[in-house]
Amino acid sequence: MSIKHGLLSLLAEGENYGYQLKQEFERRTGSTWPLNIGQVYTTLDRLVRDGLVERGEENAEGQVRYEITGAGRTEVAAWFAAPVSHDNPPRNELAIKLALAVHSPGIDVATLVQTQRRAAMERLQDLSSLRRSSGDADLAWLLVCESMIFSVEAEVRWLDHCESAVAKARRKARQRPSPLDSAREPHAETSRSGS
Amino acid sequence: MTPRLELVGVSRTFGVDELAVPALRNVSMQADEGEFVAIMGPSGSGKSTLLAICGCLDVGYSGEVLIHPKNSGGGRRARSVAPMDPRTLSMAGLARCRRQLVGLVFQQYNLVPSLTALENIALPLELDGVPVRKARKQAFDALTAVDLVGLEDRFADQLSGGQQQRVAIARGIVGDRRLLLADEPTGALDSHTGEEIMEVLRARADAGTTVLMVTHDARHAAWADRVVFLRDGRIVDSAESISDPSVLLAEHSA
Amino acid sequence: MITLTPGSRLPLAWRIGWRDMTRDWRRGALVVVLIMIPLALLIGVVIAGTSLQPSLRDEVRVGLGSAAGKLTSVECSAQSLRYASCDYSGATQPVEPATEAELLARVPAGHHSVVERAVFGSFAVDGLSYQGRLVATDAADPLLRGRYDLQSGAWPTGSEVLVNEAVAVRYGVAPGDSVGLGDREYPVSGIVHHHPWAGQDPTPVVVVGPQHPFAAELASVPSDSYGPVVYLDGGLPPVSDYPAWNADGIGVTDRDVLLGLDDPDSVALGTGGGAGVLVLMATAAVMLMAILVAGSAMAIGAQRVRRVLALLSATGARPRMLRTIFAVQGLVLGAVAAVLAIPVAMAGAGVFLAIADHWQWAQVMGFRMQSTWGLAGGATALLAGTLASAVPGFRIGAVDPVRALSEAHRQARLWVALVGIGLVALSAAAVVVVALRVDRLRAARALTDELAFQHSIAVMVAAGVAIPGVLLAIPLALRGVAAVSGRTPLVWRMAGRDLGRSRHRSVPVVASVVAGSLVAGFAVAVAGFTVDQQVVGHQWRARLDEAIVSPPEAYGAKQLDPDAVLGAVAAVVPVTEFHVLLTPGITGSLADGGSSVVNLEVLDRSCRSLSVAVGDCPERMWAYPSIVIGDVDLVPVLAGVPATPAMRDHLASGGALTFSDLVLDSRGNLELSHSVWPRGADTGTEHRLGSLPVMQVAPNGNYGASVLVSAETAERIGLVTAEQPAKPAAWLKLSRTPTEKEQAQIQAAVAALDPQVWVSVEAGPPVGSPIVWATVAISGAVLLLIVVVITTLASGDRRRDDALLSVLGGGPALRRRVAAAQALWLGALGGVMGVLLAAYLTVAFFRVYMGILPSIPEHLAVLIIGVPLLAAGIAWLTTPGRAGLRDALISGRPQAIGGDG
Repeated sequence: MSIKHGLLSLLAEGENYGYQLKQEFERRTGSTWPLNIGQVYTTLDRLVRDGLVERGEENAEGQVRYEITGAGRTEVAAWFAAPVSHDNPPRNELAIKLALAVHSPGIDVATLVQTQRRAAMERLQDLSSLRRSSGDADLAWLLVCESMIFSVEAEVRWLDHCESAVAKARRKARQRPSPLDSAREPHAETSRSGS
Repeated sequence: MTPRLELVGVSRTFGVDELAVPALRNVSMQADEGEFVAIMGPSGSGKSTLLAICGCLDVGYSGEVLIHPKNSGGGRRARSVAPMDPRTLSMAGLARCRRQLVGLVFQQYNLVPSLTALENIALPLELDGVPVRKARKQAFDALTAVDLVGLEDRFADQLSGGQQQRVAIARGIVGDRRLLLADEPTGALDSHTGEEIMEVLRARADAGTTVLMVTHDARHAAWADRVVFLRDGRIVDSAESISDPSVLLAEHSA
Repeated sequence: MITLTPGSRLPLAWRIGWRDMTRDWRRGALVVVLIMIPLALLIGVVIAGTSLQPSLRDEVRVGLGSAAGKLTSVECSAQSLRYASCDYSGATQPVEPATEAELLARVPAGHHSVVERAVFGSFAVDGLSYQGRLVATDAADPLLRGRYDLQSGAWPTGSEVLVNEAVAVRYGVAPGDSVGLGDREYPVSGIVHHHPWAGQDPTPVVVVGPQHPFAAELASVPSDSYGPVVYLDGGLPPVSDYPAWNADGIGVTDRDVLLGLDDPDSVALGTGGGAGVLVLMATAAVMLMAILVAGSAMAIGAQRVRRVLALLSATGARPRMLRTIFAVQGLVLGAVAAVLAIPVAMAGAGVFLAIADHWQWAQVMGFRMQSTWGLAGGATALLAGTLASAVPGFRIGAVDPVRALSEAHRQARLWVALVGIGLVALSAAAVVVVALRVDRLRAARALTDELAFQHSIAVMVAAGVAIPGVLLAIPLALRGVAAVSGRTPLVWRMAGRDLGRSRHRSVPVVASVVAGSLVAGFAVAVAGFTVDQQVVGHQWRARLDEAIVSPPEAYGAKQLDPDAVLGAVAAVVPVTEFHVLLTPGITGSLADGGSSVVNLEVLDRSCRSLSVAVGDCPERMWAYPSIVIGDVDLVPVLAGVPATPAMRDHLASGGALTFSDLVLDSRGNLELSHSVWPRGADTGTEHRLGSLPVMQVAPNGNYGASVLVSAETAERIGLVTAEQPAKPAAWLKLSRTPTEKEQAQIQAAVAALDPQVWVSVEAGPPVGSPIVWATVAISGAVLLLIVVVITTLASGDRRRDDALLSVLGGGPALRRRVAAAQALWLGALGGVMGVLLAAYLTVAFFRVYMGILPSIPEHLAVLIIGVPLLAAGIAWLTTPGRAGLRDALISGRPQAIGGDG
């Protein structure tokens, strides 16, 4: 994940050093996504190269101070204004797994779904108790926590949906064709092809 | 942990012969004192049947159901200490079970419209013959526990949905009852109010009440200590939280 | 299950209304029954009532048979001229009644005629003597067909006699039995259908032929009221000749003239305006009841469609369409009720009339059913149905869908109740105004029948305004119930508050009970008042259980043997006390029909007659002789107070004890004089007997004789003479009240001693006719029906609340108690309001119509207490034991356990 805009928005609040930026970022996001210091410096270099950040002086410990440029501020504003795009969704391993399982003989989709659901439920329980136990925490942190809760919930609901969709398809396949179907044979062809 | 509710090989079938519908098949589970259990499952999985059986409303099951009354000897009302199976009770005994042992909370609140909030909460006690003044006092304690002080003289149609549900919960726990059965308690509430209700239930569980809640909302189920999955009348799985947030954080690194 | 489906071309509201009705056909049937029963009752009563009323044609048939007319003898004595008008107007000269010969002489040549003579006398069956009408005529003559119709047996020949149905039914006489007339028994050849006058209660009649041995005896009995009657087949004089004929003592009745007076077949419903007003009131009350009760049935059931209606409203249906849904149902159900009510009413009335005719309770003219009533009844049923539908539909237009869906309850609007109270006040004021106006008219003697009728209607309308007023105030009363219940135990709290908050259900129910109690209460009050009037208006002949045998009237007749009388009476009923009352010997009836009387000055106050102390004074028991000659030990018998030495001395000193100041003249003296009146004369010879010193004895209640003197005094002033010694009358106190049969036996026993003797046995006032009790019974049954229906409906509506209570652990006993408590409240509220309204209407009506305040019978308390208890009991019994559990709301949806998950 690119942390470019995150660092930029921190620098927009004031100039800072690389290590402090890492700490601040982690603090703001509840250490959910811990940063590699190397990753931080690499990103900062790229920002300087793009003219969004300026390199300042070195201090006594050898830390370089970084400062945002006018172009950088514009970039930050644009980032906040625009919605996060979902064009390239990260590969959803679970979805891939299920898609393959549905047509693989010998794989019990129901068990797969239940296994995943239990795991998701347990994670949800954990997140829920985490959320409860940090009642007076920073709002930003709470929102991040809740975003995870909601996404796990979405997963559970999607699993429910998969389960019932698979069950429905199985039922339909097992159904004996009714006499009416044979009479309407030509139409049935059309509807099946159309759906 | 001492058990509060036990089910051993419970089955329940409705109808006869070709029209027989098995609602529950050989269900075994246990809920301890102060444990919060959520029951999830699709429509037709037997959730409501399970709750009805545990709530002394349906005795047409086979197998064993044990409800353990509160074991301390402090109660002034005569109660047997031994665990009882609702199937062994008479109609009057079942009614007594519903008054003294279990509390029921529904999706539609189901308050008596002609009674105030306090009177609704006191209803199980008054039905049990407790003198009005003592019943009112205990009801007031329950009212305080669900954080409704100041609204005790309002009627149902003068309370919001969330407030009504809290009255229902108070009604379910009044008289030191330690088994609360909730059927989709947040179904008719918006998500924010629903969270409030879950807080109340969680608080009750933490205070020692065993809460059995049927729900289809995963986020609300997550408030429970254990989530039981019911499908086609059977328990197919159960999820129990590890309660260790550091594990979660470790997952997100890298 | 009715599966009629109208075509889809009907407007949507009609379709919905129709389908809802046919799907819930049980409720529809109930509404039909609830409208039909009162309507059928009403129509049935009207049919029965008019079937008992004679039309002109009936009067002609009963009075003239097949004759073209009749000639009767009329008289107008000088006395009648002076004090009362003669029957045939315009008579200015005294008129001598025509004899039978004179009547027959007027029959034109070539015309056939039949003579009928009748007297009021006694006949005997099985040794028991009864009073009745004795007629001598050739009943078989074709001219009399219609007046005398042979029902069974054969026309009499020789010494046979006929009896009419009244005799046959009451005394068990059949052809072949015998009846005693005079001293002999005669065989009964047949039973005739005969009433002397149309519209009159059945009278026993015995008919003998003109050649019958008893006919001559009958002719010899002088009777003023039933002179000879000659029926003709034609040749009657024109109307213009009537005055001339009247002056000759002949009255003419011409069939064609009678029939031409008015529509011969029309029947006035009841005599005078009173019955008409009552019928109108009954109609309004009964239909109001039907509307409210049926409306309740519809309203309670409407609960189930309330949500549907709310949804319809939320999707944009106009209020008018929602009302139409119910109006459709009301119209259809009303129509069905109308169609059913008419045959039911006819059948019921027919049965009633058949029974009344068979048992001779009343003279049934025929089965009368006018098509206008059928139409009116039908229209009323339709109206009732439509109005009933307005009860649940009343607030439909104002249904706020959101509120309806969230079951919010609104408090009753106070101003509506205030309007109701205002109406009641207005009604009371109006009634007072009408009553005062009528009083003024009555005092000025300007109150004609027409005015009385109008004012009766006015007062009933005024009083009727109170009814909607009370109904409007019902929500306020329910609110009061809810408030009062706040501090009561759980059951009463739930019952009372629920009543106040679910007004849509409680108000129609209370209104129905009000209506039912009103109708029943009114019937009870009127019946009770009627019976009261009979008691109050009863002319006491003597005190209860007393028998007085008066000496024979005729001069020179054999004296009564008091001891023989005692023996005769005691053989029937034990006698506990016996006195001989001596009466003046100089009084009596003369051989030529005149009378010899002792005059007592009776001031024209409440008593009308002036010179004879037997009159209309209600305090004087008229079987007692007016002057008694005896000792002071008769004072307790005559006045009910103990004798004192002062009284004894006064009698001994030649004075008179008087028990009424009416016999004293304006100066307080007792003036006795003796008059002899020849028959028909307007003056008699009078000579003064003397003036006696008076000691007034205040009687305890009613009193017997007016005057008591000693034997010496009587002889001294000439009340008794050597030729006309004191005539003994017998006074007996019976040990118990004799039955009718025993009374007849006493009459027979005494008549056996001397047929000229008059026996009075006081058995107290009658206890009310069967018709009165039938009315009360029917209205009671109606009320019962309403209570049963309504309480069942109301408690059936509790199902959801009951299920909740059951789930929470309340047992069936609790649910029963709550249902019973609610029913008790509903019954009490409705019963009290209805009975109070009934009392109000009764008092208002009778106060205006008769000028007196009626007593409210205590039987109304039975309604006030009985209705709520009955309702509570029914609610208790009809609360199902296990239903609560079966409807347990596990998921907040009413369903069987385990139905959905």
